[in-house]
Amino acid sequence: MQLIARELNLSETVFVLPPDDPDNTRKIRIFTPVTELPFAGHPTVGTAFALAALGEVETREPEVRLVLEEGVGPVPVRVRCANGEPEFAQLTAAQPPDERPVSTSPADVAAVLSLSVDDLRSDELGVGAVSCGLPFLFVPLRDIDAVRRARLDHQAWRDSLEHTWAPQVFLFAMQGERPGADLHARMFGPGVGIDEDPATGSAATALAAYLAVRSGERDAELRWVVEQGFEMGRASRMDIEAVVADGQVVAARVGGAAVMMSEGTIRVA
Amino acid sequence: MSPDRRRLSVLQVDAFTRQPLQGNPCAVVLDADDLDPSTMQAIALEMNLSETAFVMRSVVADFRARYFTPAAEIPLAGHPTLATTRALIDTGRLEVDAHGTHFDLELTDGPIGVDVRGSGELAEITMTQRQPVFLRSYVAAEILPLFGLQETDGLAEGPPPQTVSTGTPMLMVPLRDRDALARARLDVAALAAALEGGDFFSPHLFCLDGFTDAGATAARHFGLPPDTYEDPFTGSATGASRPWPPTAGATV
Repeated sequence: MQLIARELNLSETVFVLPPDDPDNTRKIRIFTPVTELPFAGHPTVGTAFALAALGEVETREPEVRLVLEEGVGPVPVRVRCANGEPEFAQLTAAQPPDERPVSTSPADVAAVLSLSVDDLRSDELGVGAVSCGLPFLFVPLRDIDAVRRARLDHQAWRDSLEHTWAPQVFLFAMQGERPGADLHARMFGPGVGIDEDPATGSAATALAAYLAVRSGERDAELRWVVEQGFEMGRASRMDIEAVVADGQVVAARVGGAAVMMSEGTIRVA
Repeated sequence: MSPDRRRLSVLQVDAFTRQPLQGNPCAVVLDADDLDPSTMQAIALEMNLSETAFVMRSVVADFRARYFTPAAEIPLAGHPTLATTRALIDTGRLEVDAHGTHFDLELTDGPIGVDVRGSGELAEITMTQRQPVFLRSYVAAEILPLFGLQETDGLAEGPPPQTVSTGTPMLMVPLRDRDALARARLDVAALAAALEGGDFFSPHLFCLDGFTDAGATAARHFGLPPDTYEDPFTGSATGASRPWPPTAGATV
């Protein structure tokens, strides 16, 4: 599996297996070109979409519910269908959000992004480290221009972030480029061999939790539309949701559309 | 799935090996005559391999091919040429016989000759690169730090790092030994700056001492995102390093 993921050289390759628990839909294993991951968002959404598009799961109802077994545990996925074709898939994070204190200074975080500390927001949206299965460092920037200007400084990253709990950096501004978008984001993941990722589902679920905690709401269902991948020429849109009850984030979700690009067979030794 | 979308055949071929999942992978898109260059570039970015080849009809040669990395089109490359040939044979577009087959492949700067020795899975493919063109020479002290190396890691006696082109200009960086080669670590920002002011597409580090008894040279080839940081085997660069010290004529 690891060799095949390396050969395909995409950010992730998913292998679909029968479930351990017959009540679940499938078990999946997720590999980057260099390592296996316990959970990842876009492979989960993509796999649910593929299973529906290939008729591996029933798509007659307008909404299909799947459960995919991953390293972090069972991940529920809803697939919205029209005329038997999948249109939108949404996963709910298997793990409740885990937020930990950040010891890296804003100046060091700015240096990792080749930005000045003035490009970081200095309000209640500070730098935060949150995980819904994979930890990310969330860096809110002043505006979309700062997001576009950011460049990963590998040496600065090795000096200040490489050995922290959340070495992958998710930077964003609270404004969109296209109508309907609330945030414009990028993800640099040098720690997992990904320089920049066009749409990071696992980060987006944790982002929903990060934003919900800072929203001041005690009981609400909150939604945002996140743009990512524009600077790479791979425009992506993720719809994220967080459910807050009694001041606690009880669910974080990410969803989006997907389109079949190729299919085929591979030959192995 | 939308049935109205155009479908193209794509094969992924591992070049410079007989073992699937080894060697250097290349995507080969067949019958690409009607694709515009921006679609080719987008497909190469999607495939995310070091190169994607697009195969078309040719009026001056037997076939035409265009090669794209995830970042840009390159005029000539070795492993896509091998991969393209393998794809042409496997799909029955190129007939080969056991006594040897020659065909001309039109690349962006004109045709090159490709020879196939043998047939079936064991066929050996050789491309004859154009006469090398020797371009700018560099001082070792300005090039070696790009890879975290010292001036003493360079080849003590012999030519300095120099850009050589058999179609795509590559910076040839001769190193003292395999140990220096193994220690090379890419400084991404420094290479980005060097590429901006340089005359080469990518750097090729090598020493005249192979990893196994069968190999006479060992090499590493580097790039920057969205291209791959390190290429497993770079045919055109190896061809360009063959006339070392610089003379003329190279085959891979």
